[in-house]
Amino acid sequence: MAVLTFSINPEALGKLHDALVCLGKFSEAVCLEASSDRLVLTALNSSKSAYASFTLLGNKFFSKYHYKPPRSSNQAKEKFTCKIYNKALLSVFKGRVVDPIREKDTAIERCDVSVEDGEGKTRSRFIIKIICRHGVLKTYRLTFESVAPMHALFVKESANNSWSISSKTLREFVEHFGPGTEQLDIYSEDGRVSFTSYTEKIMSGNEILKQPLHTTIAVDTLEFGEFVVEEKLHIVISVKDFKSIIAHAGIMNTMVQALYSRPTSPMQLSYSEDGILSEFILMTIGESRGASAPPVPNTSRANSKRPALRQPLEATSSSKRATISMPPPPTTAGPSQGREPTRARVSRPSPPPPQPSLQSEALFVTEAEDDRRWDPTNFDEEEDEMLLWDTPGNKEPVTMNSGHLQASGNRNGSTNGHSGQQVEDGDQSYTIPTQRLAPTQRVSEVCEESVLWPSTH
Amino acid sequence: MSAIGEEDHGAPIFKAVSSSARQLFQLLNCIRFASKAQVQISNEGLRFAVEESRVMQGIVFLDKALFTTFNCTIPEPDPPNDDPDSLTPDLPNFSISLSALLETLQIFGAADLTTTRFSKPDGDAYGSNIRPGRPNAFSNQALGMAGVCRLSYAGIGSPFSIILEESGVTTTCNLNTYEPEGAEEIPFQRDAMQVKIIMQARWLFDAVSELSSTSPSRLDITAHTGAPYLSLSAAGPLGSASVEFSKGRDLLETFTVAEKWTQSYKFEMIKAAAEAMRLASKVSVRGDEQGVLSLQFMVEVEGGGVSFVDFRFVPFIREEDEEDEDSSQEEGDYEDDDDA
Repeated sequence: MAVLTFSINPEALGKLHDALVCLGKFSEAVCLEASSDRLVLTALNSSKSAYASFTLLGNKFFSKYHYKPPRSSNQAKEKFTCKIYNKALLSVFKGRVVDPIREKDTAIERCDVSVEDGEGKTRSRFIIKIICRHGVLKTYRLTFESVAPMHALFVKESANNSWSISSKTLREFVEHFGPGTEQLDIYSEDGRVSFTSYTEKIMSGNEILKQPLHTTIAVDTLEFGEFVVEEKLHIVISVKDFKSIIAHAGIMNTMVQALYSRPTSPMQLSYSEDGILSEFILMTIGESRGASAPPVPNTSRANSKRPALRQPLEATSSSKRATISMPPPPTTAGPSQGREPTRARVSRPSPPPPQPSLQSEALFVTEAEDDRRWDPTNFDEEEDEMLLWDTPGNKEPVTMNSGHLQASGNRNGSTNGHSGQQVEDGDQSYTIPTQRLAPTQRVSEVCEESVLWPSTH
Repeated sequence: MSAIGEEDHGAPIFKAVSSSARQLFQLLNCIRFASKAQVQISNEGLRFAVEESRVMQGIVFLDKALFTTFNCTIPEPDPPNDDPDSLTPDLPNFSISLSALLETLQIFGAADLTTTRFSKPDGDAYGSNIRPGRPNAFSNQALGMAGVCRLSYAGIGSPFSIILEESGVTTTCNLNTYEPEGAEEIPFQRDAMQVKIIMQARWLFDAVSELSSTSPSRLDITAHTGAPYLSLSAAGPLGSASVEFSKGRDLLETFTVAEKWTQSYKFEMIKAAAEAMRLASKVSVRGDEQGVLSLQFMVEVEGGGVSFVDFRFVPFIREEDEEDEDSSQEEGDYEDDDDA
């Protein structure tokens, strides 16, 4: 029995393909959620730091849409959910939209999709029928996994910052972001908004693993359709995710709206056109004030940032393992560094409060039994690591680089059989070289720091 | 490849000149799935045959019409030299490295950009879907830089030599020839033909590239006497896919089938013929009683004239349980048809 049937006309098919391409940049699987008036496609990346969703409105996007709730023994289910390997969908909806003129003979006339699911002898399949000119009928029967999707939550009420801008303009910005950059910092001051894409320098001993790179685009707030943002607030997201989003948004001519509250809380980017509502939720990093502190006026923010970063080497072993294993890479926005005279201040290492776990649960509805990511050796450590990207003391998402740092640090500790403190020292010296970006750094300081690393051996 | 074999046997058995290596390349490129080709020279042209695992065979016949001059002096029956167990003792017969030959022919860029040696001729890129081989405004032919390609073969044991001249640059290439491998043709029973379909090769290409998305291992071809006249289907780990040519009368130029005919072939092998499907204008699909599939592609070459590329495939043996599975699958098909 068909749970869901819908028809798509060729133009919408192209849009569906674009959406799938975009979802494919986040995850290899797409979750579908059908209800009586809409079909929602979602993807959550493996580190759960980015979430993409496309809502296709039943009456606007589809030429025909009919949802019949599956007869469940308990109760009629409101929604039908399933998960399909994106590659399978992409190969079905692949770039056949290109060139309707040249490909005239094989042009698509209509696409009918029906989802069959049920107990008994019916096979559960996602059936796509593509009717081409001359009556060529292409039928695909895709297998799917019947799971409930994970949705990221975003509390709009708490998002006090918002801006909106034309997707075309954003696309132009994105073109300038350096290819190797990892983070994107968004910052506004005095009617200027800076989009800075940057990579921090990463060193392992004397070997430079990653060269620093900064690209800043400054825009007048007048370019924005709407701009209500706290002054001097740095909010940092992943460049890759942002690029993936803009690659899709840029195809359309629409306004992209961003909503966010403060660093380490999610940011929402959304836009809509022609019956597709696109919504993305990205985790932000950036300078954290103590997460235990309630959101405070931004004036105090500059002072309380980066506790761990400036943490001197006397970092005590009282720090939680999390901070040790994941030295906070110097996340901060590059441009801000020069401006802050306070950065040399030795602030107290503030152990990350347990709060982050609450935050992450707030972001994701079901998170518990998901696959462990980086093959944890230790459950406790993993637990901490899972939360790191929104831990105030650790301002970088779990990336390969930070994993690398961690590995090096641990190896160092274990081979030498030293105490946790030694490991910390080692990690400290890893992170320190990356700070040399700051023009204010003294050469003597640099040398001093660089000799520290061998001393831990 | 460069070593010139033994002494010349006097006048070469075969000499031919073509105004362009491109056509030869395009045709031979269709059968590049194997590295060695069996070559047979006759008064009518050159026949290149390749085969894989004795279940797939591809033949390209370079008609003498493709050459501006074509000379073939079949040596007089010469009892001592003659190989008694050869099927065609009178025709020069040898084996040659096809990949080397193709490399040579495209040395002046005869290949399309889409079919360089690095890209497999499987037509994965949907963008390269347009029929290649159409004259292009910037092709050498159009720019009046047409080169000349001379082929010659002196006799048994001597290399097959190719001389390419293009805008004053000459490349001489001698390809070693090997003893022919007496591979027999896959038998196709013309008198027991079960199905014969002539259609545009583009349709077949489109269908096969469509099905390849499920990365299947097997391709089922079914010809029905009624509604979905011809259907190709394949199942892979991600699901199954099928392409049906239900409006058979408009799509299929010729459609002759006595009764329902179903056979399965190895998908990868059918896909190896994709380059021919892309290049050709028409294809004749024939199947015999034993399930041997013959695909004959009609390729319109530049400057008029047609050439033929021939493929033959041996089917999978159909087991009883497979039949059952297929029939249940087909029931599903009919249900779906009712829905539609």
